Amino acid sequence: MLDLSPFRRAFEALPAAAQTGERRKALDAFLTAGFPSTDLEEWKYTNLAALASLPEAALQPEAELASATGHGDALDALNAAFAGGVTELRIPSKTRREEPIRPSDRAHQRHRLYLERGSEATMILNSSGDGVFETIFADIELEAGAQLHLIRLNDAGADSHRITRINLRLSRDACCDVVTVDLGGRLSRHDLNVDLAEPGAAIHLHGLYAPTGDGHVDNHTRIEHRAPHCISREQYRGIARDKARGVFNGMIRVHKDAQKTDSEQRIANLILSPGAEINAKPELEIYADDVKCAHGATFGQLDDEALFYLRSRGLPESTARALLTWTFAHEVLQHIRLEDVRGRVTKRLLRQLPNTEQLEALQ
Amino acid sequence: MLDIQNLHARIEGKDILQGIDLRIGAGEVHAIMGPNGSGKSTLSKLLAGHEDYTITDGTVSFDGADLLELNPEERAAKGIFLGFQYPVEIPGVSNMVFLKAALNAQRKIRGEKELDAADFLAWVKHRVKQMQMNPAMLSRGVNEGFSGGEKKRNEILQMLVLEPKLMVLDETDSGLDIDALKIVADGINLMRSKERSVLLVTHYQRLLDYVKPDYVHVLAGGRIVKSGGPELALELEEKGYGWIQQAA
Amino acid sequence: MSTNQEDIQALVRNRTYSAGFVTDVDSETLPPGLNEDVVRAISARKQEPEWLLEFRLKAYRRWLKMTEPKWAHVHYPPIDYQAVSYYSAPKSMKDAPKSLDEVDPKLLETYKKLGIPLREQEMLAGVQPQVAVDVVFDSVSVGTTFRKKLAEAGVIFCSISEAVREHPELVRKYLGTVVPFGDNFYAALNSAVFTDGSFVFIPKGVRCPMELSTYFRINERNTGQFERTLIIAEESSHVSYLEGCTAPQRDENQLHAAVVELVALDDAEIKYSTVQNWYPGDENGVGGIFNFVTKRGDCRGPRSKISWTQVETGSAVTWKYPSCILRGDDSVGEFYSVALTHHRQQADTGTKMIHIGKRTKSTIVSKGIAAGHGQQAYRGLVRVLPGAEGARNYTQCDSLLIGDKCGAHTFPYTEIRNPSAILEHEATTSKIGEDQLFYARSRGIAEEDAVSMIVNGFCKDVFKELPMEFAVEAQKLLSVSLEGSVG
Repeated sequence: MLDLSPFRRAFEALPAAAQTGERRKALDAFLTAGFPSTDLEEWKYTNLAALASLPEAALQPEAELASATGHGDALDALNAAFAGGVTELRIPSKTRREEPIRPSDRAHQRHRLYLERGSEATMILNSSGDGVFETIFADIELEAGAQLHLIRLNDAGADSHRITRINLRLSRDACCDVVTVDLGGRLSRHDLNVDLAEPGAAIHLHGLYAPTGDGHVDNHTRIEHRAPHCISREQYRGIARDKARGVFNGMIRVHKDAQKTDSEQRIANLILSPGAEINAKPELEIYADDVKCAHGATFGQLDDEALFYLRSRGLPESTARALLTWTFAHEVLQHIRLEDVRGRVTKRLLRQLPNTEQLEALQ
Repeated sequence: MLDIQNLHARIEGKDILQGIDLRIGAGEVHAIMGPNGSGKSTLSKLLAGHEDYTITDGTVSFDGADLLELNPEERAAKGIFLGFQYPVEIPGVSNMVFLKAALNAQRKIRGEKELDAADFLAWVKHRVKQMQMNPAMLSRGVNEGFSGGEKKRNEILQMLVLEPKLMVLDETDSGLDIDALKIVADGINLMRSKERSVLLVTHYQRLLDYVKPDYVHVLAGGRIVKSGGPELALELEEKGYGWIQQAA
Repeated sequence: MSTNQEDIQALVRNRTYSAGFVTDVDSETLPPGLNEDVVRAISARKQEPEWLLEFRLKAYRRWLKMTEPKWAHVHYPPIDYQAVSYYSAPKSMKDAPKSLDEVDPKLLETYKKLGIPLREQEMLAGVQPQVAVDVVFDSVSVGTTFRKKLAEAGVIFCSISEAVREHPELVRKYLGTVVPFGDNFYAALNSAVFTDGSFVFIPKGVRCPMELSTYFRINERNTGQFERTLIIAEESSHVSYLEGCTAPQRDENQLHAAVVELVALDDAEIKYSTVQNWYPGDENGVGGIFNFVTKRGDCRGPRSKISWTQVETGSAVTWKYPSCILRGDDSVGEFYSVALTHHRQQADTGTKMIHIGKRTKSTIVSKGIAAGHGQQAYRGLVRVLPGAEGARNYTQCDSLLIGDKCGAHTFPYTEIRNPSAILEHEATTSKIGEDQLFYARSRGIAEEDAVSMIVNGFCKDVFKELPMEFAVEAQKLLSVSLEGSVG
């Protein structure tokens, strides 16, 4: 049995006023349930046991309190205990919020975002702390016709650990465009659950995960087509270096009444070093008959033809490789619509990929 | 041969045909022209028995039988052939297998003897040659990976093999270059006889240079708004559809 | 919706199972139940050597500690393993027949009904190419044809019981080396109580002169069939093996838990084809076979090749993943599958390709068809280990849905640990095209024939991998299975 007492001690170190009954209940729920076992299909490739042996300094529950807490599985409970409450935000009907929503960089965050009918917004969930364990949970609901551009970034240092979970619910004709980028961290697990609850809803997911060192990144996405005429597009790209491990699991479930579903999922992976590893599983569960669903997954080397073409134009092989690897990853970053964020992530990506110093000149 | 009276049809709650009257006698060639969305394709598919349409009023009789009572394969056996605007791909089923199954199914319903493999092969090869097609296409999947032009040519080949009585050709000329258009037109003309009739559904006058119609009808808003001889097609080509629609 | 979909569903509804008759044979059957005494009884009845009894007992003891796998996308009532009889043999077999002439005529009649001629002269009289046949009826093999001709080539083809008696050293050397006795719940059960099955040995450099084939039939009530097949292809040899399966129509579920092990040494090639038509249960899901099978091939030598082709139309529940361990450098694994589920049938099937050797290649083509209330899942694993430089995999899995009450699911696992590996996976799901149906019908083809034509076209990539006679049989089987699906 895993010793979870560091989590209890960290909690009990909070000021007494912050140790509310709600939070304690959540903490107890977590301590009772413990971390999910790797026997579970959903956790087959990711073992959270390492979190129990983090140094005490890494466990920093929030002292500040917000409103009510949520109820769910063990990880949800852990977040509820450590985040100390929910930050709520509502975008009024038919308005566009120009300023992107950027919650402060706390270690433990819990958000509830509500986009009313026909509203528009952009939200950035960022984790960039180092040496800290973070949990970020968000429930986001889009009413009819609402539009959201959601960016989840993780460019934290090599020694960070995090669990994030985003639940999205889309009503009629709502549209959400999500970009997730993982460029750092030792252990990250991200759940992204999408409910296409009413006809005409559309979700676009673009993800890049590029773990290095002994990093481990696990992305689990789940798209539930519950209503007819919904669209989902998903594209994830993985690049693993050194001894890093990438995990991708993408489930698409088309429920009985979701006729005319149009769904496509593309996963592409590059493994750059011996010792690196990627495990990918695109899943389809289909219970409706009038649907168009396709998924594809590839693993492979860079395109030899393209490599040859670049070299025939005079680029050294290492530069040509770097360039192709770069374009492979950059394809995802292009979908970030905020220029400053895209620029920052692009720079960070350049630092991360091999031989990219040779590319700086080409930029 | 074909007698359509006061035909009304709708799809997904939308009225497409709103009272069509059309008689086609044996040996006649009719052309139906009209702007996009006028109901041309609906009429063609409906004649072949497509089940997406609901007939709300009117009658269609073919050789004295109530056509609307028959399912698509029964209509085919009776001699109705629809040349599709967008021919369908059936992967893995070769043209040869498909044609043989179709021909023999029709012959069976008509109480005729089914063709054996050798006779069938000879017959198909003869037709393939007439359409100037590569016999190798027979072992490829039905329309699988065919270009738009190849698909249209394949439609005419099927027509030559099956020898129907009434040929309904839905925009068979679209997407063809001039050489292919001539081959397709030759195929249609080859089939013309005193017993057979043709209904050409088209947007352009081009095909009518090669297949001379006896009658031309203009379809607009789900109704035939004007009928005339071949000169009507030329007039339409010159003036467009605007004046007809206004007149209607 | 148009009436078309309803019609198609009606077509699928009234399927008839032509192999559903029962043969009235006097059988000797062990009472239901499983314990060490039963394991010993089976072993004793088969006069097995001590080491094999030990193998069985080890497996049994391991099995007791194991639990049924629950991860498959199938649902069925709990199985009472104590209600199953683990051994049933026709009585007339007690003094094992020396040749087919001594086989009970009723059995020969059974196989004749199934369209499998057992007498060599009958086969010779036919126009079909020669196929050597082993036949397993409930728990025992009832006869193998063409032995002499095969023996001349050095090929051993007999029941596994006979192989234990006649070639114990070969059986001992290879049995359980591909599927260990504790591999999984059903494999452990099989290792404890397996009764019969086929044994094939192709010596070095020999190309087996004819197709080898085994027909399995469950006849007796309340029995399970636990066959065990072992095929060994020595260096540079080649063999093509076919198996067919049927069972009578009964209201209760019957258990079939087989283990098949293939070993291909350097440059050897094994082609293994299955047409599985166990009784699927009726349209309400009453009765039918639970088909829980472990099939695995070991490409042990360099440049060896193992190819699985399966056409799965029967069984109430199927749990089956014919797999390849690509150990030898440059070895090749293939899996071609057509699985059809309708009424209340459920199938969770696919393959595992484990790339260990350098430049190993695998190809997976899976075609799933779901109709009625059928549930269909493809589950596959492609694993590339760090040493598998230059490994390649291509996977294509397509699903076709007929009607709106069925389901089709895809669970492809990829675990890649080598930078030079190249994999491509494509999956599509679509319903049978109404435009395709209308097109075919407008040319005069009846709806039922059009459905069967389109489905056969969908499966063509797999059928072309089957030996000719089987391909014809498989196509017919699909058509029969879809009979009555449009009204």
